[in-house]
Amino acid sequence: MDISKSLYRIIINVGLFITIAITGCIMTGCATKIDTTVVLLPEPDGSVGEITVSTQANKEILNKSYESARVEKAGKSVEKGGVLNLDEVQEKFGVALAAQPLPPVVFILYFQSGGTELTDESKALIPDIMESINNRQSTDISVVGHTDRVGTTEKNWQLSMERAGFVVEMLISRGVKESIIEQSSHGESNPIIETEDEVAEPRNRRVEVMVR
Amino acid sequence: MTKTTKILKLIFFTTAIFWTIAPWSYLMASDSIGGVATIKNVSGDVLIERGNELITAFQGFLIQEKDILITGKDSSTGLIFKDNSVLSMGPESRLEIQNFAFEPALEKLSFVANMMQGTLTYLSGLITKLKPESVEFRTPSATIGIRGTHIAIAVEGEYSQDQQMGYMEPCQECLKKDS
Repeated sequence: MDISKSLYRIIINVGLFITIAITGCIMTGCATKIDTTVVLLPEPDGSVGEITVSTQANKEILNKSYESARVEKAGKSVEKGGVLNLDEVQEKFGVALAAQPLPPVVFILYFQSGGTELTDESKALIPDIMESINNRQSTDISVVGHTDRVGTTEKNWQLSMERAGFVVEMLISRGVKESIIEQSSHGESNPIIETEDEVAEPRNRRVEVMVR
Repeated sequence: MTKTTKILKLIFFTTAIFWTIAPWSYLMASDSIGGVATIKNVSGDVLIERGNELITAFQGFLIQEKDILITGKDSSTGLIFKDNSVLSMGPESRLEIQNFAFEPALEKLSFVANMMQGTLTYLSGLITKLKPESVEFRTPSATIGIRGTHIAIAVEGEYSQDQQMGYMEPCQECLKKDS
């Protein structure tokens, strides 16, 4: 009698414990397995940045090329997964990587003093601009004109507009649709190199072309 | 007479209320017209969940804050954000653009996205250059902070709508209430 009674009690207690454990598990989210894997990739120029992966339990820093970290499920701690090889990265992320658009690129075209004549180096850049527009199938190009501080603010504003207009016309003449180009001009107000008024600065006589 | 006055009063008040609210709602709407990102490519089935709407994505589509991007089986998509960062999603993925601000002049710089399911890659842009650690990806089991770089994230497992994103916020809140 006594033995069966205590056995009965044990069974009830174990049952209760399991029920509480399962309920607790469901409530804290451990019933659904959610597995996060993070991989640090080298940037297009080869440099490697840094990321932090945090959970309730801990935090890990990744700063090596193809270094990985994994969190098995919600509430678990981050485990460093070592450096992955290219095949492993391709297997998991191949489709996503293939869908990655080329990052936007900025070209700076420099001008001779006082007008809309490009420097020879900048003329040579034009085929590169066209190539990047075609490679990206770009639908979004911005052209921004600038000047140095020689001359009045008003004249320079006018000149920066003419420079931007010159570049826009050049792109259109090479087959770029006008509707995808956004043109603006900043006059002398947005220099790369800060100077006193009336100082000639070739690096500020420019048009910036951003291809996205 | 009294009836017409009543009607006139009603018209007057409705007009007054309309003109108090209209300009604001217009301003708020125009703020988001430009979008925070542009879809550059779509392969297979890609949908945008915006409020109660489901919209089929296409090249040139403008993504707004709070949009949820969903890719189907064997599908993928790539997009470029206003800060020049680049993001792509693999098949059967689900990503919510929780918050995106790129207004350098006002020092409003942040990007928080919830990766609920699937795979993504992200190449950071100007936001992380100007304000490191202001880009964050949250998954149901972890939070990933980015200090300017290129990453890949995979979230595997069952997706559930009420899944908590990120790791700490709800619990930090509980702790605050307890103490």
